[in-house]
Amino acid sequence: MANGTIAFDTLSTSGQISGTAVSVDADYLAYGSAKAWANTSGVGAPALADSFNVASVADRGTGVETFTFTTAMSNINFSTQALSDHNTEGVTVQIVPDFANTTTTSTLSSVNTGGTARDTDKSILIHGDLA
Amino acid sequence: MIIETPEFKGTHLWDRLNWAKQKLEPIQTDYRVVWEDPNEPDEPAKITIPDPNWLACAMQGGILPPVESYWELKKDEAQPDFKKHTRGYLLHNTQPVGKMTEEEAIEYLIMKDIPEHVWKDYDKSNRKRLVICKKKNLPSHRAWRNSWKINQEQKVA
Repeated sequence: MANGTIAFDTLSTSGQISGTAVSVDADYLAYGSAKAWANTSGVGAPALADSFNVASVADRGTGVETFTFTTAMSNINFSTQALSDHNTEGVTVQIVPDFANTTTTSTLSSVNTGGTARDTDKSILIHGDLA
Repeated sequence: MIIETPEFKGTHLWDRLNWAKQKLEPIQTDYRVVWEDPNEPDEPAKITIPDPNWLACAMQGGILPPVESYWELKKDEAQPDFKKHTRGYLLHNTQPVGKMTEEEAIEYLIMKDIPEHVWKDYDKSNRKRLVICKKKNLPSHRAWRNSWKINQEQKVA
């Protein structure tokens, strides 16, 4: 250990609690953690309430937003999870991918159950490999 | 309190952002970038909103890579046989850019996050396609959001 850094390759438990010792490769911790996340607020004037590894959000029209990352992903096959709530009209809104991913962007569209675009706050989470 | 940025050249950009997330206060800006893509003439105007944590990094200095690093990665990604980035080191090993003013950060963000064909020679086109404005200059309601276009009559300061 030096300068506040702990270097290790495997994290193991003793098994005293569950009766079974388990271990995980440290690489899984690095590769498995979320690489970006964001929460928008202010329907009508979307802004990022808080985030990590996001440089900007682009309001592309009703319900459609592009999130742009600061650190690029390695490829376009990363995973995006997103949540929304009822919008200001009390309409249930679901989020669907819009444009294809690039290594620095994920574009999402929020629509009501009839498929009509609706503005809503969004929470997004990105998993995948970094460039 | 003044926070000194560590020497970050060679440190993975994502790790730098982790440092910044712990050390820097987010900065909410009133600036907005309104733009239209000439390749999508029927689409409404887009509005790019800077991220407060990103803006804090830009104004702190010593964290973000030169914008040219992003351009190089975009060139790689535009190749038809692109599978994955092999030059990510351009983000991590290039000397980070220094402290920016809020306005300089907005200009950097335009060149990073908005397509080049929108901002390059933006002032030479017949139609205005990029405007930096304040949040208060945007319409206050979104009833006709998908019809928003840049006002071609407004004077640019």
